[in-house]
Order: sequence, then structure tokens, then C-alpha cells
Amino acid sequence: MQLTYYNNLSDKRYLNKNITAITHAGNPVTIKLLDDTNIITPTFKMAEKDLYMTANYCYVDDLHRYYYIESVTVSNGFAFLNCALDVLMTYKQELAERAPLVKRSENKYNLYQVDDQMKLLNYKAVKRVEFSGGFDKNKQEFMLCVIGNTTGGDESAD
Amino acid sequence: MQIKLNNGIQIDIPIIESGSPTKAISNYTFTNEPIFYYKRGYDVCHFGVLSSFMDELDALNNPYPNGETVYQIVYQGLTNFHHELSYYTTGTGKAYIDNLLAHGVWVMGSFDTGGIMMVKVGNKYAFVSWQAILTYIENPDMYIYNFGCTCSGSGSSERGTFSKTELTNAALGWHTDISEDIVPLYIWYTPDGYSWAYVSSFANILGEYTSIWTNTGTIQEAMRDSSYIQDILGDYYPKQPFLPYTGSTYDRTAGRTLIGGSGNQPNYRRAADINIYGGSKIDDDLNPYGNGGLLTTSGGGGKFSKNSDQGGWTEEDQFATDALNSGFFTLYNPTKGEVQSFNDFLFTDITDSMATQLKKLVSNPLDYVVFMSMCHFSPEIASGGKQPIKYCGIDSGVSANVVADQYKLIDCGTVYIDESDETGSYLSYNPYMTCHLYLPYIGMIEMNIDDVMDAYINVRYWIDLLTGSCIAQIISKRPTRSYGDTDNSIGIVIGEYTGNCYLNLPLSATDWRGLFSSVVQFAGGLTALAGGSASGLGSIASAVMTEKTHVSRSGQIGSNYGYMGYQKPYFLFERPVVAIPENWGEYEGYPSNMIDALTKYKGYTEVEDDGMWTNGINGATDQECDLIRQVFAGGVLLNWEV
Repeated sequence: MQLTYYNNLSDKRYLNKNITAITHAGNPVTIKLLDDTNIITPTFKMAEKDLYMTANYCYVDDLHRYYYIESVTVSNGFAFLNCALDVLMTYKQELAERAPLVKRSENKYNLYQVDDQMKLLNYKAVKRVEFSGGFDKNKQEFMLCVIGNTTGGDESAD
Repeated sequence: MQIKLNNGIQIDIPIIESGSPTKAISNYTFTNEPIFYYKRGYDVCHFGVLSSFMDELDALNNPYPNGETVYQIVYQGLTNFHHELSYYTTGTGKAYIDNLLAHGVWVMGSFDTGGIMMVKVGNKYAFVSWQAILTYIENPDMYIYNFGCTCSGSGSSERGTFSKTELTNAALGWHTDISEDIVPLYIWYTPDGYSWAYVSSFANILGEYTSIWTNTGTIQEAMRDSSYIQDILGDYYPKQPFLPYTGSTYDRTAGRTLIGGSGNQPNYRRAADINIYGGSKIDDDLNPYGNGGLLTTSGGGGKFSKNSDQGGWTEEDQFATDALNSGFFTLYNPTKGEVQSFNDFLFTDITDSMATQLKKLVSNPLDYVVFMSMCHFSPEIASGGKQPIKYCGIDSGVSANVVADQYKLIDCGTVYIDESDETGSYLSYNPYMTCHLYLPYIGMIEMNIDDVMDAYINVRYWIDLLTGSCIAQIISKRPTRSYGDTDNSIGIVIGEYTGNCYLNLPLSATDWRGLFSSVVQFAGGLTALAGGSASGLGSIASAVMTEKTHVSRSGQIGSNYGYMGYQKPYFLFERPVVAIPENWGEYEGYPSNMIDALTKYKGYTEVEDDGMWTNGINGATDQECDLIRQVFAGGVLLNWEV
């Protein structure tokens, strides 16, 4: 079983990792998978001389999987790499074919859904929108209502 | 298609395309033939060939010099007539303007009322707006270019982009009484460096210079409701002019809608999408809900009715019969001097014969005066001139105008609340954003922002002139988010509120006591409603905002108070202020709830863990599938291209 060392500069949440293979004559190295281990959090055993402390990422060919190198222990001339599976990098090709229900997204979204993670200030902005028409304060009209009509009676004041 | 002009004349012109505004525009292949847009109904428009319309107008004997038609004038293009006019007229300042006016003809309107004047310059013509003329009078150092645009300086180097002032002058200078039904689609614009036949669509003006106007909108919204434009420009723009269009294919798919081609015409831009997410934008095309969210089939297989009971509002004429026709009393609209004269008649120079007659008829002279009030509007006056104020059958010798109709309508105009100018998100709606409407003589009322947002809101008052009672009706037209058979040409009354708009003048001691009593009743109108937190809103982060104290903004504003108060309705909006960084989406994303290939997503992505979507991933164990779903549920950063 061969293990290839990488340097990973990406956040673990990234699908595609920015990884750089360790350029060394001894890369890849031969490893063994310890007994009673699983492929999610495996421990790989190798000769101590094959250990590269500058690497934080690896690929195991027989397993066809990428791993984060979580920790390293050395004992009795052997190095033990405790790793964690990177499912994103390992299955990125298969994930490209999937169409799940996306709850939140940076580029495809609808802002008219209530966002329970939104943070708001404790005050509001105020806007005034006035109608163009209405009453006119510059008009002060009198309205006088008098009993009778304009044609009834013809007596003058005197 | 019959088009009715404001003077009542009907003209018949061929229509080349019909349909909803967006449909008609998308279906029509624009050529260099100028067209105009004719609105019929709320969202149906028709395009006609401008020359046909102009020909019909010419047949109505419009005054154009030398027999030319307006169509010909516009199509020929215009020029910097100031430069050429310097060889044609003499004088500066007012003398220059006098010469200008002497050589021009008012194509639309007049110098007194505002409009557009056409001036012949050599063998070409120039249009000048009334507003531009006024501007020139105020600043004689400025050169007047065509169509109401003003630029400072001289020479071709000064022919740059028109400033807001120039555009405002061009817009404000328009006036027409041709036809209310014609809505500006686009104004011809050919700035080729030397010939500036400037015009621009009012929607374009509104869209590009949003700081000028209270409200802005898209060309679709402008075409849907011409009254929207009318309200925007207010008294300067009581009617909508027709305007020609020239251009190439209308491109609706581009983010910026290009109207026109060959670089000679400006790009039309939508009003800026202003939202508070700092750079993020609404991606409506990816919204899977759209109109499909309004289903006609329920989950149980039943069907919702697509018919809506609208209870719409239509224009109403004056009531056929009112109390003023009864003859039992007369409502006058006297001036202040006439009131004083009538007062003199009542209480001074009473002769013996007059006193005898009065004793026979009344015990208190004021028994025959029903009321006297003041108001902040002018009633409709009956024809026939001023009539004598008859008192107890006696001619008082004082004449005053007589009010014609008992009921008066005051239309306060229409405002359009464009949601894209607010938050562009759920925060523009209840309960996050609040809305109050101040109504004169009524007070501040709280409205449901959901009824107002993206709607044309019209406020109108019906006033009973015999009592001063008024009812304010709030009418909503919503072009979007209506469904079924909703007819968007009819407004829906969403609220009615009553008040009294008279300042009642007490005419006796009894009246004074009654007046004080009624005033005291209104004095205790202010109430504060404490608490009032909305339930069911714990899901938003800032729950404190929703639990703010609700406070009444006004009490009842009775007549006498209202007379002193603000006289125009206005909205008061309060919207939340988002407290997130500009690149917040990279860290938290935004609500999506969409199903699509993961390759369509970039950056921060959170996936619902439904226990199934990873099934069948080639080579993955069940444990790994669970891990994948767990990782995606916590949020990943998708970068398909590295």
C-alpha cells in the first residue's frame, strides 16, 4: 500500500483542496494499515525514516481516498499516522452529479425567505414618502350656509 | 384603434402591436420608424406608428410653421440652435429671449402654461422647453441646447453627458394637452456631437437619477400606469406627452436593457437594486417559486378558485342628486371681504322696516345661518357668477360664489412603493418593516406593509361640503403578485377612514360652548400601547426588535386640529437595518431551499440532511455517506474549479 504525502493549504470545508505533493525521492512511501482500524479514521504504519513532518495531507492509493494527517506518533523505529478521511476531496467527482436540497447558499438564494441567522440593529431606518396632492394650507376658503335659495324673496335690505 | 384626445376628439390610428407591455415590447422588432405607446387598461398597451398619429393631429389643424408636421420636425433631427441663432437673432438676456419667442411657435402648451416651443433656425428646427427658457433668463451665460437641455460653456467640447439639471429641465418643461392616454415610451436621443436632438424616456430619467425623484421605477412600471409618472412630476407634468422611439432590437435578457443601437442612444437602466447585503443581489431567475408558488391545486387534490372578489374601485362621477339641489339652503363660498360685508348686513345699519320684517320671521337672526366654516380647499363653483346672499328672503346686498356640488373629491395622488428600493428581501414586509400613513384631518393610521409594498397606493378624499365630513379612501393597485382573474386596472379599496375637514366658526355663545366641548373630546386622543411583542418570531436572531413597544403616533385629529395640521398625506416607513458584513454570504450563505446540481453552487453551501441524497455514491460506504451528509449539513465551500 502506497501513501503519497501532500501539503494542504485549504480550509477543511473546501471541496477541492489546494494540495501540493511533497517533492522528495521517497514520496510515495509504503505503509501498512493497522489492524482493528477503519477507513474513516485509519492509522497507517510506516518506517520511521519514511516520515515527513512537513506533510499534513495524504492520499492512499489502494484505498483511493484522501486523508488529513491528524497526528503522528513514533515508536520503536516506526511512525504511526493517525488520519481522518476527507470525504469532500475523495468523492468530489461523484458529488458533482448529486442534486440535493440546498438550505443555504452563497450564490443561489431567495432573499424573500425568512433568514433566522440574520442579525439586525436595534433601531430602524425611517423614510417618509409624501403624496403629491391633498389639501392646501395656502387656501383658506370660507363656507357659508344660509337657509333659502338665491332666488327666493326679493326684498332689499332697506 | 380609437384614441380619445383631451379635447374630446376621437382619432383612429392603426396599431402595430398589442399586449402586455413586456409582451408587446418583446414581440416587436424595432426599426427606425418612430412609434408611440398607447395605454388601454392597466397592463395592456398598443404600439402605433408615430407618423400615423401625427398625421391625425395635423388634420386637427395644429399650428406648425410652413406646413411642416411635428413628426417631420422630430425625425429630421435638431441642432444646437443657440450657436446658429447667434447669427439669426440679436441681443442678449431678455432681448435674446424676446427674439427667440418672436421666431417660434408653441407646438404644445404656451409660454404662460408651460410647454414646448419650436424655433426655426436656418433650414432646421429646434425645440425648446419652457423651463429651459426660464433657466436661460435666470442665467444668461448658459447656452440653450435642444429640448430643454442647458449646458455651460460653449463649443463641441462642452457637449458632454447631460447633467441632472438639464434632464430635470427637460422633464419639467414638458406639457401637453393632446391626450391623457398617450404614455411616453421613449424619447429620441441622438447626441452625435453636433446635433443634439435630445430626449430621453421619463423612465430612463427616473432610473438614472434616482435622487431627483421620490420614487423611481422601471419602464415596465411606467408603462403600466401612466398616472405614476404624472404623480412623480406633480404639477409640472399634468399630462403625459407622446414621444417617438427609434432604436434597434430591444434586448430584455441583458442585465442592462439596451434600447437603441449604434451608440447614439443611452442605455436604459433599471432603478438601482439597492439592498443591504452589500454587494449581494437578488437572483430572481433562480427562484423556483415564482408564480408557480401560487398553486391552483391543494395537497388533497382540491382546487383553489382562481377568481378573486375584488370589490374594486372605479372612478365615480358626482352624485346625481345632492342636498344643494333641494333649494332649502344655499352654500356660498364667499371671500373674506364678502364675509365681512355680510356681517355688516346682519348687525349694522338695520332699518326700521328691516327690523320689522326680521321680527316677523325670526327670533334670532342667526337661526337662518346654518353654519360658517373655513377649509383648505376650493369647492366647485356654480356657473352664473356670484349670487346675492339672500337672508330671510332679504337681499343682503352681498354677493358671493355659490357652491355647485355637495360632494367634492380631492385626489391626493398615487405613490408607488417599490420593494426593490427597500431591502430587496423578506425584511421589507410584516413584521420587520412597518408602515404608517398620515391622513389629514384623520391622523396617523397604521397600515399593513404587505398591502402597500409593490403597490400603487392612491389616497382620495370625498368631502361632504354641507357638513365637512370626509372619508379618506386608500386604494391599492398591485401589478405584481396578483393572481387569478384580478383585474389590475381596478384599484382595490384597502381602507376607509373618516374625519371632518372644516374649521367650524362659532356664530353665537351657544356655538362657542359646543365647539369647546367637541374640542375637549379630541384632546385625550393620544394613547400608548405598551408591549405588544409579536409571537412566533423567535426564529429570527434579533428578537428584541420585534418586541419593541408600539406607540401611537397621533390621536384622532378632529376638524379644528386638522385645520392646523399637515395637509398632505404621507407614508412613514420604518425598516430594519441589517448588521452583517459585506461578505457575509461567504461565511453563512443565504436562504436557498432549492434543488439543483451541486455544480451549480459555489462557495458556502449548506445541504439539508434528508438521509438519502448520498445514497449510491460509487465506492462510498454507508458510514462515509453519513459523514458526507453530516459535513454538508454543517456547511461546505464548493470550489469546483481550483
